[in-house]
Amino acid sequence: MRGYLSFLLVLSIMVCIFAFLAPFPNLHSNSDYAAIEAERTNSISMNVKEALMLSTSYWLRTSALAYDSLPEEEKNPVERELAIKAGILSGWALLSAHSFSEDFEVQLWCGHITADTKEDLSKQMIESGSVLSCTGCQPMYSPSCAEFIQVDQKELPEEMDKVRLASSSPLPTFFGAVGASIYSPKYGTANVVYVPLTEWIQ
Amino acid sequence: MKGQVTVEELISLSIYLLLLSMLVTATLHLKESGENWSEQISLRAEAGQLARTEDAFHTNNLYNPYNWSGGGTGYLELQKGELEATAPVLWGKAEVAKGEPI
Repeated sequence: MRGYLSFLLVLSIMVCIFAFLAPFPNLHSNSDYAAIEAERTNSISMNVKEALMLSTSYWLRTSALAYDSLPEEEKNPVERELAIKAGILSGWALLSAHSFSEDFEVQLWCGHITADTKEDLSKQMIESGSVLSCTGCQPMYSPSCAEFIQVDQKELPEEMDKVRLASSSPLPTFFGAVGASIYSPKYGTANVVYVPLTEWIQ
Repeated sequence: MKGQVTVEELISLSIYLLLLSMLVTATLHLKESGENWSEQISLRAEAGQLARTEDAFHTNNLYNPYNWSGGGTGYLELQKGELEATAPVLWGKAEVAKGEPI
């Protein structure tokens, strides 16, 4: 009889402990990992921007070097600029096919955007659940993106060629830029980045 | 002698039953207070996590899909029934006193 009651006593103590601890799993909220996901989204965004600038820099130097190796009598500055732009566009076509991360969808584009595009497009991507390009923007491998490559050719052999990824826009408040839309179906986060308009890439 | 044993067993049994009833009462009371406490700290934890989320999205210049309303400048406030919880939103600015552990 006493053994049975002791068993009940221990069982009751256990029930007490579990009764008190049972609600604790509710401590985890939906936004538990959101801060980490935001950091990851930013990290991928910076990777995309850096890859875009490195690709532009590499193909600028490679295509300029290839053109400069032609015989002197066949060269002229207009053709050289076209060769550089064609080289950079071919690099962008390769970059567009690159998978940056299995958790993120990336779409590279060029086009005319506003200061609100970043927030508006991010919101649209989250609502639609897929990566979207900005309105009226072209895929980065499109030949029309050549308009967004401003080439400043070297005048002396010791100088370096440089490019700026920008374009003036006929519409007020709009500006031409080269950038990327980034969306993660896994995390439900989105971002829009573009190369700073005033930055010269060498 | 036999009668004394029966009385002792009855006293023992009544003590056990008393303890048992106390434990049942304590269980119910602890269950209720555990739930209340859990709700309070859950709401407080959620407010803290939302504030850190808000900070992370703000610092990384990202659109924040986690909406919340309530609070004022520099803090957010969550309400659930009669319960309230607030947490500071730093907007990327953390002032830490010298020597203070981060």
